[in-house]
Amino acid sequence: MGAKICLVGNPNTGKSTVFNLLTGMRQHTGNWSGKTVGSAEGSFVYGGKSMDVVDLPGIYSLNPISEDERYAVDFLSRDDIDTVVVVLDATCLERNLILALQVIDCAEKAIVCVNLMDEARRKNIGVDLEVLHRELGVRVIGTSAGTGEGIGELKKAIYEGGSRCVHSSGGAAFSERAEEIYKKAVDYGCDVYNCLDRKIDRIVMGVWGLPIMLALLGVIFYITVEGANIPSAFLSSCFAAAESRLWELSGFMPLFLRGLLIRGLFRTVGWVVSVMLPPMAVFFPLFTLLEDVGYLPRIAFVLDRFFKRAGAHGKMVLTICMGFGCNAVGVTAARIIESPRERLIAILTNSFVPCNGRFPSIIMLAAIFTAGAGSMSGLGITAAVLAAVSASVIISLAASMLLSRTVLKGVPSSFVLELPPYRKPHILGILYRSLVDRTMFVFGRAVAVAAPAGALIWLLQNIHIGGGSLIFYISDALEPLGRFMGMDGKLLTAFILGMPANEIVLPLAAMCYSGGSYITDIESTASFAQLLCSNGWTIKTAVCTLVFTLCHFPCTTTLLTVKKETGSLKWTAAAFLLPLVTGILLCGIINFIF
Amino acid sequence: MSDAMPLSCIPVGTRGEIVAIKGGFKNRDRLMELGFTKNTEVIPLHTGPGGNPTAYFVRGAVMALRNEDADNIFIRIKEEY
Repeated sequence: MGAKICLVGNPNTGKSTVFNLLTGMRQHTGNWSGKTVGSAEGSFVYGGKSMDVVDLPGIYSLNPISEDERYAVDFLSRDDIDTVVVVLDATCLERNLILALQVIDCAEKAIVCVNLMDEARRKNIGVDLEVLHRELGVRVIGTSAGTGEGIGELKKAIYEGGSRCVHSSGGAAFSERAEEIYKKAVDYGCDVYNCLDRKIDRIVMGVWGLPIMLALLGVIFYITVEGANIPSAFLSSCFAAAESRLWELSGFMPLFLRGLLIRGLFRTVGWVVSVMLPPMAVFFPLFTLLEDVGYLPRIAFVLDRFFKRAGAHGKMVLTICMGFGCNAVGVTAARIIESPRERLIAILTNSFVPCNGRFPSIIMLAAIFTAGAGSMSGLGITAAVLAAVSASVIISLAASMLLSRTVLKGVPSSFVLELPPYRKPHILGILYRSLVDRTMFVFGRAVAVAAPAGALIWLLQNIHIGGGSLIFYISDALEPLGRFMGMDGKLLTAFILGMPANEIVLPLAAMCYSGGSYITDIESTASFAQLLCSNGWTIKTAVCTLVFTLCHFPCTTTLLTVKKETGSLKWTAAAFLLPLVTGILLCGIINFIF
Repeated sequence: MSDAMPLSCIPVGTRGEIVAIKGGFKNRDRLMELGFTKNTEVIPLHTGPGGNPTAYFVRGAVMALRNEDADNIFIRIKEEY
């Protein structure tokens, strides 16, 4: 057992970045308050001594209000912590010092790490570390985690151990004492009203805020739609070639096994990887870029009035944004919402927004609309994707409004949102994190989930009982419901089998349609769309499938997360039924009208 | 307190000083932890589309508050920025 160190501080002071530098790990970081909701543990060795480091969610004080803060404060009161490292934002010391004083006052041993020194220099804010050291009575290290400055010194300080605060605040209120120290140690030379951040804010959060947000999302979607085609076509041709090669090589096997392994298992994995993975791999880093720059809280600011009207919390925008990456992450992120009522609303409605895994399906369905409208241009697809995503947020808001007027009645609680300074994104870090970590994760899941699902579908297609295959009986049973919803039984079967991971739904549907026989190679999103069209798909089918893609039961991972976060089977059932019933009703209405 | 007014009423770009914070204990404590303490300087920076919420500069950070919450904070205007 090495020494136990924990990192605490106000939200968004760069604790996770410091943690990553110390331990060499790759915790997700983001430029907004509340990115870290659980803890991360890592370790490093210095001078032959091993040190375990824990990264905690940001807190404003030792009186926790939200779930993530409670977690951090509970952790701090454990007695096996050797040294507490208080991470402060050099550009915001006047407030950060309040927490620093509180923590130093009760911690056994503490070190103060004044992070973001480079940002402070850029903003013409002078911080005198010597004065801070004298006033606080503990060791003070200046760092810039973005560039790695001061990390060696911090490691050394941690190795040597923190010190117990020698002079307590002597009863004076922490905030007054903080102000006193701040005045001595900081020379604030930044013009808060006219600096660049404020100029950008006045543009992106002013009257044009909403159109600018839509335009930015549009650009991201366009790059995703266009950019995904190239790797998609390449991967498809690789998989198609590999499939026919494997077919030849496996001549010695029984035909049944060959079909199961190659036409069922291998083909489904190939489709998931070649058609679904590229849009996910392009969209994710682009969206992370917005997060890193600090734009997400600005979206929350611009959209707040709509959320207020829906009786939801303004921070729900942040959980929705996390939901674009993964709904399970979005559900966990709801811990940042202080009021239990509004937190529950955010949890229950999160799966209305399309996660990364459903995103490629939306692009594909959008391609079918635009093909129906006579053009296949990327711009048309982008417009349709943007409309679908906007619709998902509107449906999410409508559901929130319904919940807050019925089962989860109450008035909106107070809403305070910190708007972080804009920061230069860590492009390389983002690329590494999304392309390597994320893509490998999705790829691993594709193999783990798509492979058995593909094999299962092939079995269902090829085991015949009394003149019909098993899939025929299943999809036949689902046919009336499918017809009512403007789709068909095969699609519903695919949705049900795709429950472990949404990215396999359309590939499974294509498997059902192709009947396990040899079909033309799926070369890109566009040709995938053509396959669906040749199986009797109309624009109405595409619209209904799109609506059901947005509104259906959450994937199993998300449901398990809801169970964990709410601790209640009742609310987990609600999280399952709310989007499902909404989807069935919406599809039914669309089918009835057209 | 005669010249004190709610934070939500003071125009953008005015320097003000907090003289009192009202509202329930829970709300008040939260606002104080976030840096809205007595005698602290606050500057409204800009309002969102539709006039709500508003972003304020306080103790080195930019915090957005809905007007309903800003109504609980009372300000004395110090000077035009």
